[in-house]
Amino acid sequence: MPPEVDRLLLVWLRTLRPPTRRLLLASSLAALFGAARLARAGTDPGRAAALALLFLALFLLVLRSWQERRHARELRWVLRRVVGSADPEQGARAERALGLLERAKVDPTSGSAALAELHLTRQVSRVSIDSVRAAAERRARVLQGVALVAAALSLGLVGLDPVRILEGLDVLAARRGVAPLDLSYLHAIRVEVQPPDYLKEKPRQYVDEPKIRAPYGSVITVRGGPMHSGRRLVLTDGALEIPFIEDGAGRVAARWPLKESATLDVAARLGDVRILQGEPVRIESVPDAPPEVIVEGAPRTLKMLEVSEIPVLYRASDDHGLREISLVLRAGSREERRVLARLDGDTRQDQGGYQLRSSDPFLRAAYLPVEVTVEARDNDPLTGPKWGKSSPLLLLPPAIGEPEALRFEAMLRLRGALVDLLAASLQGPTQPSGAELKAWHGSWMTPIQGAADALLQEGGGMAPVPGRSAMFVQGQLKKIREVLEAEQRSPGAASRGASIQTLEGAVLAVDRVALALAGRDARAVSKRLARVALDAGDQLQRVRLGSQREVDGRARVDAAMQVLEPSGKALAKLGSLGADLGSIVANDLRRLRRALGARDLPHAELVAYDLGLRLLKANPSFAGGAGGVGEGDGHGKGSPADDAASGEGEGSESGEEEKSFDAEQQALQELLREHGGNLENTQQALRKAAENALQGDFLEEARKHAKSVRDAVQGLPRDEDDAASSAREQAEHAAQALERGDVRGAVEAMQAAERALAEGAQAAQRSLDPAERSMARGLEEARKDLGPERRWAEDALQQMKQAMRQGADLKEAAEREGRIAEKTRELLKGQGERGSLPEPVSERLSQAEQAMRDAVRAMKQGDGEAALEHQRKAQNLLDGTTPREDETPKETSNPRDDGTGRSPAQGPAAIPKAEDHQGPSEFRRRVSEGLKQGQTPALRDAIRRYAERLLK
Amino acid sequence: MKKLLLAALTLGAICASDQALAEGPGLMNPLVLKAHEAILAMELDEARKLLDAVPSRDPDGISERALLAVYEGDCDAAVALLERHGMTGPKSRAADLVDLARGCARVTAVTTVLRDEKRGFVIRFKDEDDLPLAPFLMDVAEQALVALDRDLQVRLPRPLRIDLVRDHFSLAAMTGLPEESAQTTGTVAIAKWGRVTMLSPRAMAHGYGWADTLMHELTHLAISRASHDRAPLWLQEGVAKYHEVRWRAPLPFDHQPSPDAVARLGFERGLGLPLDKLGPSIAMLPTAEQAMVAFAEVHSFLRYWLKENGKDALGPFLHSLATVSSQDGVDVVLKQRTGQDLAAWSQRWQASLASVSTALPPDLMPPLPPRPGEPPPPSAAPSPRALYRSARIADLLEERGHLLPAVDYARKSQTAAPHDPAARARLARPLRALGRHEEADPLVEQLDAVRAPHGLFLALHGALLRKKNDDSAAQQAFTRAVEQDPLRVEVACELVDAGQLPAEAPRAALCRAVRDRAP
Repeated sequence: MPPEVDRLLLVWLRTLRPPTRRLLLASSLAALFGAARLARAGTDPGRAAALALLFLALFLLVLRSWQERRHARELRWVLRRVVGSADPEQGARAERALGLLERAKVDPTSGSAALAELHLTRQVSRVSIDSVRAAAERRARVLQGVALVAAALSLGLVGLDPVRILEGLDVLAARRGVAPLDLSYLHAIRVEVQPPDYLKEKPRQYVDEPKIRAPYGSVITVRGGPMHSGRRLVLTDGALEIPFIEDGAGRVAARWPLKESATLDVAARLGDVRILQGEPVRIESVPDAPPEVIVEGAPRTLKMLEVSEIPVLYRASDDHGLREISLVLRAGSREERRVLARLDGDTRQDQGGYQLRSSDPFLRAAYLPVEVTVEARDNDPLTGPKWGKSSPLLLLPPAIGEPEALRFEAMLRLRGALVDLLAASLQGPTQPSGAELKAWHGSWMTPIQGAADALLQEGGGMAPVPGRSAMFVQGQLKKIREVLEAEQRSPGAASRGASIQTLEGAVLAVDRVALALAGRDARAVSKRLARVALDAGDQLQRVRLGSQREVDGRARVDAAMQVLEPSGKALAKLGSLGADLGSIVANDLRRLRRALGARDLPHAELVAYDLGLRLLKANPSFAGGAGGVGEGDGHGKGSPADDAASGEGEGSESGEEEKSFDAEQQALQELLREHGGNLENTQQALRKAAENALQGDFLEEARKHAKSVRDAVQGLPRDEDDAASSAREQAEHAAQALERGDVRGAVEAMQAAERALAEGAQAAQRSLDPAERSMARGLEEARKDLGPERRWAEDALQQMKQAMRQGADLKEAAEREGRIAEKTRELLKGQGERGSLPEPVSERLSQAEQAMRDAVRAMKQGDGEAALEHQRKAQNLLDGTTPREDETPKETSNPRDDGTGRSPAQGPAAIPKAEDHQGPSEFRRRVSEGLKQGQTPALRDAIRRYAERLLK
Repeated sequence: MKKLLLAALTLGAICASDQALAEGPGLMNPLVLKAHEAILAMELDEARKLLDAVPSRDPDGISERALLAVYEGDCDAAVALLERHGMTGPKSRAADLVDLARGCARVTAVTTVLRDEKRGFVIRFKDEDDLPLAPFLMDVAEQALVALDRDLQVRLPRPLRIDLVRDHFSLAAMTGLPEESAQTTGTVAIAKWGRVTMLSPRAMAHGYGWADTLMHELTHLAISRASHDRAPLWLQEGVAKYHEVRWRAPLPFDHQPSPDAVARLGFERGLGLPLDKLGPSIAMLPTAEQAMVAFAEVHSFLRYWLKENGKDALGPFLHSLATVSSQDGVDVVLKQRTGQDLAAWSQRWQASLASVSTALPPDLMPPLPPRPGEPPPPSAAPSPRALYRSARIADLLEERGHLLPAVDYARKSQTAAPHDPAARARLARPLRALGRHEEADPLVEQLDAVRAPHGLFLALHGALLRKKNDDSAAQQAFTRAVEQDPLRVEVACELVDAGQLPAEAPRAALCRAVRDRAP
């Protein structure tokens, strides 16, 4: 570039550079602040626009710098812009001179380059420096003005709310919705923790606490003074946001419901971007722990046969409060919960105990190991009540069928002793004296009696012998004793023959009873074992379907096998059916073990079901057919003698002894039914006479007295546990009885009410409390008011009795009662000859006959009430002569339940069905009749026994 | 040419079955039909090949594959196949097969299977304690197969499957026969699904004649194979009944009482049914007595027919049934071969019964009820009560070691039933124990002195023969005893002393197993 041009350019640049730089700076700031304002919207378009603006500004700066450097080297641009600005005409000339120079350089033929260059220099030299400076200064002034405008704009953007520019830039730099620079929005921050209501705890406040522990379900309130207006502030854990709202006192607050632990911070929400305050608070959520329960001695395993009582002593505690404590019994899929304590939800500790007896119905019904735990429930309404569970006491039940097997073995011992006596009698001493015979018989009878006592006495884990069987066996022994005594009285071939015949009968009878009982037991045991096997199958099925973990299913199956193995062995001891089914159990357990050993659970499931379904059938492996015809076979036929001597005898003909026993039982049942009918006749006759006496006016009068009775006790309390309430209750019963014409009931109830009032008054008088002493007066007054009513009722009762004596026609009932007494005597006489009924039964029959004859006498004397009492006594005695339970096989879940019902606390027993036989129905009828008529002392016992049976 | 025909058939079948699958129920694929025929004829390999050519989604093909699996004894596979194709619903075409396959899978799960490839037997034991019976089962089966080949010209394919089940419950599950029916008629075995399913002798206290039963059932399988399962019930049961003793040397008490006499008595008492009206199975008749008469009828008829036509006529007759397909196929074949149909033959047979005497000895008189409204016929048989009392007391006395009085009571029992083998055995046993062989031996010496086989009696008879050094006859007797009551200690151990075992290895193994299980 020619030196003249350089000089002019230098002047130009020196003059324009400062205002140009100021303009660039002001413009850049304006662009930056503008971009910040755009970005603060927090939206993606806003942030994109801001970025675009910034990039544009930067681009312009770079472009400007580049142009400046480029133009400084470009002669034509200098001539045009610098020279042309100062002197446009001279500038044009200089440009033409430059054109000539350029052409001369390219094409020397067009002229001399040196001359052209000289021409250019002369043209530029004609432009003065001052004119260039003046032109530059004019331009600088323009630039200065524009820079001032840009600077003003920037100042305006900042001056309004400089934090917004910062926020905008922060938002612009945000990544993943969070701005990089923390900014303060709230001051004087306070954190308040409000625990859930059920904890009943006071709220707590924290300031500048970086870490806070709070119960699960608390409400965390963060409060503070806002530092900038117009911000949307939130409380956030990084995921969830709760907006702050004004609290009306110039502050803002946000409430955070605490579930999981969280780190909370204040933040400003700008579009999609959050600017955190940067002062996080860690809130640790403390869950409500489940209650802790400790049972003394647990975990522990006990054998149920070895313990009669299991004390369960527990201590339960919870961090906040207990609501309920239960004893939980689990066996297989069965579960029973018994509430031990219901608490208010505030109690944090509780302790107590429960005496679990081996006779407990749940334990008696259990065939799988029973897990006993104490479980406590807390008061957590938020996540639902939680149960804490103690370590278990594991109770192992006896093998299913073991008690029955013991009973069968005891019966076989008795049978064996009888067979020994029969064999001895067949080969006994010849021509002995009576005394010798007595000693000889005694030596054989001792083991028989011992075996019988062992059989008929309860205990030792043996199932009790059912009442009918026990009575039958006792009858057989009695017959044997009688026939042996007869032989001792007159020794000889005839009496020996009679003894042998009786012994044969007794042996066969006991044999049949034993085998029949074993067969029934085998069926019942098999069905109980079936449930164990099916339960194992169910467990394996659940494992297969994925609804149960394999380890849990296997544990249950192992438990089932622990039951099945010993129980199968016990079952195998129960006669031929038991042996048959027992061998199936043994074989299928081997199959099951093989499958489990190979972890072949689907086949194990099939085996368990196969065994369960088979045992549920509980029938012999082969049954029926007239000798085993088949789909083409006639070879299952056994020999007739084999069949006859197989001994199982179920369904075949009964022995003479059983027939005789059955006939006597039938006669007793008939007697019971007939006498029950006559008892009802007497009751009806007396009731009819009483109704005749209580016609019309009497009932009207009785209603008036009933109202007086109610009035007398109206001021007394009700539903309290004291004498006054009891008296009121009795008086109201009396009033009701009067209204329905039950004068006897009314008298008894009023007497009871008067007694209660007297006792209450005495107690109140002794009291130191003046209020109670004043109550004594009220009780005395009530008693005085009740007295006349009671006396009126007593008079009415006397009149009624008189009317009954005169009006009741008991002649026919007396004749029938006499006939029944005669039948009873005949039955006694007949059984005396056969000697098949046990002594207690004979005695009761004898007493019943006497009561019947007393009833006949009372009827003839016209004393209907006394007759009724005698009849009821006779009926109760007759009722006791028949076995209380039939011998149908019980499907109860525990083998020990098929006893005689001697103890009402020994588990469930079948409630007699209406169609079973007349005894129970007659009994029920009399009880309901008795309940209608009021309880006489004689009937009270019967009602109690009936209630006991029902309870069983 | 045959291959071409088969290929054409296969191609046609595939097209037809694909079309059927698309259209729902329609014509059965001919290949499936052929496979079904092959299964019934127990040509299982052939059936498998045919089914391989049937599309896998063809419902009939699936059903037949499941049937084939059942025939092959793989009930698990049958269940899995039907379940996989959703054919287990009660309205499914395979509903009955599903029930059967499930029952079979349950009963056979984890059971012991003995395979004797050389002899061609597959025996499944539900109760593994029955394993020592395997050699005896196979011996009888081999002899039975020889007899069937000889008499009926039928060779059963190998392996031959025998399932020994423990009880009626398993028998019903394995065969589809209702358990109640099995109990009513006392069914002990069924030949179905290409195998014999029979009760273990363990199912009964004194065993049963399992060997003759096995022969009887194998005869059923042979008839099914020869006739492609087209033989009617009377023919099936008649032939099976007739053949059940033909695998061994005859015994004096075979077919006692005479089926002719029982059949005639049955007709007289109103229990007889026409041959073609016996229903689907004798095991499903309402009473055991009717079943007994039905067996006697078919047995008696077949004996008459064979007498008239010759024993060699039976095999060809059965085989020719496979060639006819109509409902009255038997009539057609009968007429072709004998010139008379079933009605005519039945008439001739019933006429022949008129000359049969029904005056049976009292202890052979079948326990048939009288006609409705008629009084029961007088019976000279010993009263069961008398037998019961003395026999039971004898057993109880013997059990307690009172042998002398036991003998007295057992003698009473034997006197009351002189031809009863159990009564003889009961008396002979304590007499032997007392050393009174001169009294015991005559009781068990003559087989024709008794009316029926009995395990202990036969064992005592064998012991007597052994004492007389007639070892061959003794072994025969012991074998017959095992065929009746193999799990009785005296039978299994051939009455050898407690510390000894029978000489032959299988018998020694049986003896050891029975002693181990004895209480």
